[in-house]
Amino acid sequence: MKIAYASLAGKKNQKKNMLCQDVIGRFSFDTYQLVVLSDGAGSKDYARESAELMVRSTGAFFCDPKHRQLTDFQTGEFIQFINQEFWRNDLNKKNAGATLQFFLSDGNRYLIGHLGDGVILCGDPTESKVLSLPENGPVVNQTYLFPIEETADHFRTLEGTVSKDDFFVFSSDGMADLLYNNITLETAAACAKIAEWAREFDEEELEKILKDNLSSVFFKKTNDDIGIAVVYAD
Amino acid sequence: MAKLRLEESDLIINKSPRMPICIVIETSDAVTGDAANIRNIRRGLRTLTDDLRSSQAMRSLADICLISFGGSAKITRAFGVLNDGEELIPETISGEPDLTAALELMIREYQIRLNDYEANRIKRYTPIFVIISGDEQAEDHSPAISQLYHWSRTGKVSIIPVAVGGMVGNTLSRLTVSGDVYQMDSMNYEEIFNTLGKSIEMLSRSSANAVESLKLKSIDWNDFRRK
Repeated sequence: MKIAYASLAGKKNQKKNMLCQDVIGRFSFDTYQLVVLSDGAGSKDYARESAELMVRSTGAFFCDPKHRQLTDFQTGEFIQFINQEFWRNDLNKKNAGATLQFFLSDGNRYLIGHLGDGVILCGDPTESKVLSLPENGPVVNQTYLFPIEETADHFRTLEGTVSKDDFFVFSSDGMADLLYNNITLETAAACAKIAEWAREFDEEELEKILKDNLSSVFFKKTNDDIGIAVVYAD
Repeated sequence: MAKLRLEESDLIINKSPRMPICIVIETSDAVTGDAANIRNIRRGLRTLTDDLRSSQAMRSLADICLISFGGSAKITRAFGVLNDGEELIPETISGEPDLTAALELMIREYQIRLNDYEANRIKRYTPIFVIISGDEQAEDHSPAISQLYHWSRTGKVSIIPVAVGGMVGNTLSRLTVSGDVYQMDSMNYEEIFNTLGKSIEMLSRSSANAVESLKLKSIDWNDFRRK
């Protein structure tokens, strides 16, 4: 399984010399691979810290073998764990907030978790589709964030099997609108190209390609931070 | 690497979301009688439009409507994005100021705009209503005021009430949960509009809900708070 990712601060944050608030991390546990993408909420004082903590805490949760449930995942325990990590770090819903997308797989099955905005796409080099849509309130600047207990209703999980050439794209809200049509749900031609690159190149090369495309293509089309993670089953 | 680069045609370009911003300004004799007031409001609006235009993010986002009112209320500029070089110029309307009529007109216009968004499948941000008034009128209990208070309390809109010319601001204080009314005078009008521009930018950031967005804590509105 190949995993590559890249993120870049958007125009707004670059202008203010702020770090990118999209944070992505990758973890390996025995035969399991985990990739986590989190977008810190710009309205919070600790946006970047929230996203970093989100990634670290998700990694810490799945570090425990008993939590690596690819079927019948118990969301309650996960949410409680993440909330506790926020509270332990003096982060609360007033000063902190972050979305979450994660992908956990043993190579045969996968578990995806999604809270908030950003989009998750899947497919193979010939066809792709939207797997998990962003969840906003009635307005686009509202979404669902950790840490709050009410997120239990909005935290979504998806399970499935992984076949050769399957690929998954995880993206923050900054670039989600460039990857799918939010009315027809048609995916961008970019998805097939990214999948093709993922098939052809190794992780290191793929990461370089993603970074180049973020700075040369996606950056020009949005003001927001941009983050993408690609998983390819080889 | 060049052939490993995506083309613009490889991306989907969705319709830009919009942030409805409705500015209601009293232009009755009570306010415009003092030439400094209307001059300050105009300069302030220029500061605001310059700010919005200079921000790449806000330029395409801000969907602005301007309503002037005196004895009656009138749409001076219908909802739309700012054109290059465009100024927002309030229209003088004489007569006893009728804030309620202006608020009713604002609600009607906003609801029509919401229908436009829906029909054209345009996503939107939390709307911002800026209400600048002398507000000497007797307390009234019109449905428009209850409606705005309800929207403000439930986070459906962000309301920024501004009293001009040292007036009391009774009705204005009943539009929001905090009851805060910002006092504008010849010394601070520019800061008020500057701060408004920053607030709009801040309200465009992601949050868990609109009620949170209303807390403009990192913007020092306290300087302008009515004592």
